Amino acid sequence: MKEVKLHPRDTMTAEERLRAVINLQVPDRVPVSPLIYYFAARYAGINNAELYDPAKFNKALDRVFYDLGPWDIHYYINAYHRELISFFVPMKVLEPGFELPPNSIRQFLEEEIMKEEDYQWIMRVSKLTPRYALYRLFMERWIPRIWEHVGEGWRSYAFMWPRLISAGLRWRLEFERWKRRGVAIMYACPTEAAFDNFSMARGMLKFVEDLRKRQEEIAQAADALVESFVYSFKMVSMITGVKRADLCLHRSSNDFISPETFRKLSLPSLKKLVERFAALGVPTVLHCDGNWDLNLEALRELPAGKAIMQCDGSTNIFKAKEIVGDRICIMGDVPADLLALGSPSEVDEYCHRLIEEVGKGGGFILASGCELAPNAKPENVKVMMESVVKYGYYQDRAAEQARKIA
Amino acid sequence: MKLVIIGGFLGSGKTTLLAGLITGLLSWGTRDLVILENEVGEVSVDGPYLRSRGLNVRELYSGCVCCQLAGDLVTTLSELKETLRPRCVFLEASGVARLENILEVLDKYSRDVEGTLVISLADSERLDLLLETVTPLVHSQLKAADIVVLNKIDTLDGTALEERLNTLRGINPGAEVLPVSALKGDNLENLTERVGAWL
Repeated sequence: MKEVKLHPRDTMTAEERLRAVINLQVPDRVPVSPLIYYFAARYAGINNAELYDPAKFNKALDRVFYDLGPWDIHYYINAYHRELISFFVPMKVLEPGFELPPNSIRQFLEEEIMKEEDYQWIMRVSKLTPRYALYRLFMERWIPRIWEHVGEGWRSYAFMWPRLISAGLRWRLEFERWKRRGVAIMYACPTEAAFDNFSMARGMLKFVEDLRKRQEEIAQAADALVESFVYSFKMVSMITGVKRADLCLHRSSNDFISPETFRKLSLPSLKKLVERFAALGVPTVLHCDGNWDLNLEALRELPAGKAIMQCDGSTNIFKAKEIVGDRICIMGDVPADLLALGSPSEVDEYCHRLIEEVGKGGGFILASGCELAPNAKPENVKVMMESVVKYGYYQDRAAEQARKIA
Repeated sequence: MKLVIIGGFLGSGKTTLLAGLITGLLSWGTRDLVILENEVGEVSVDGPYLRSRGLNVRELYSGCVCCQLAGDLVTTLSELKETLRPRCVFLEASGVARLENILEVLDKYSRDVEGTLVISLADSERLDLLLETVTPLVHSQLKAADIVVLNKIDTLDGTALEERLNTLRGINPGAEVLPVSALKGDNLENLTERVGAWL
């Protein structure tokens, strides 16, 4: 494929740049990657429900890319079929255009999808079919409980399979399109880590009881799923052609659990999985929502140069750089409220600081803190994208350094 | 325009308390109130009843609390001030919201709020369990409060009640701690008086 440079001064392709920062090396410049979904609808003048239409979604995203971009790394994956979202977040959901007005934002409901006996079921099924346990957990237990119309047993497989295949093939085509325009793809498919899956599927009210009464089961079931996480990734990676994994950690932050609980119940299976991926040459994107300040030290246990830690604006990203920046690539974290309510000069100042301090020595991706706010100001988004050209070239910084020394 | 934020973990009784509080304020003749609900999963405030009493009840959707709530809230408050000019907005925050994040963003960006009162609920039945398991979240919700409401006191005996009140006073010594049963209405009048006086 022809190599496309996104900016005239670039000496690397976006893919080379992404690989360099994951390996904690210094690239030609800091890469930028916004997580865009609802913002695209608002910017393109369509409603949020229309994003389920692949043509409209891609057109809206293209408009953002050509007006406000370019960006280096394509991040968001549209499920297209609402039922597929359950593979990513195993919770009941209210969707714009379905249960909610068309311009609303998706809402997840805290209900009991995972039953307490599912911990034992996972351990039993993982012994019988270690590669398929995760897949079976969703197909046979959780999805029929989330979606009444899907049905149980073979009906669940019959309903989900065609949708999975069609979405997978569409993602592949979309990824090829992004690659042709010089953009790297972040990961093959979003996935929630085991501990966090349990927390969401049980519902917080039930899960807090489990945290007291069922600690061993949580840890053992999470561990039992590692093999099937790896196998599921291999399958999805084969379809989408991307060799980077993603693990969302929506419920492992210090906003929810203590650092001790993280070390005891979430980290062991997470670490094992990141190590397994690393052994396959696959880096892992850790989507670290919430405040992770007290978990940073523990993340040093993950293999060096094999992961990205994505911060959403709640974690002190400067502290993250200091504590784990020599082992994990840091990504983030222009906050949603700054992009929605701040001025372009404030955004510019914050991005400059991120590039200077967190980008020091490489190993950094500039990004929106989690998803770009739907009401982000377009001029602020543009400033964020342009900041990597304005401040992000490492040779400029080296020259500036030399000038200062001289 | 003033803002009252009602926070507290899932199932702590925020909706019941809010409904009782609003009914009390309305019976005293307080008008021009708006309710913003961010907890769509739980039982909803009795919208039609409250609307019939001249209240506006709105839902504030935010897919991912960390990303979107605070920014949306600032915009929504600004719109409300312009269109409805309410005396006070009551925000029922999501059960997993960190209240200090909301306050920080309001402080930084909102010019429409003249004063904020934060009421955090602690669930008498689950307080020990939550402090043991989701410590950081519950601590942050309680520490951000001006008034901590120990709800569901009808489930406690005298000693247990005193123990829990002391625990809450220890976590947030600066806040007033009020024992309440929102469901039975015990001591709700006391809370309504405080809020009414603040308004």
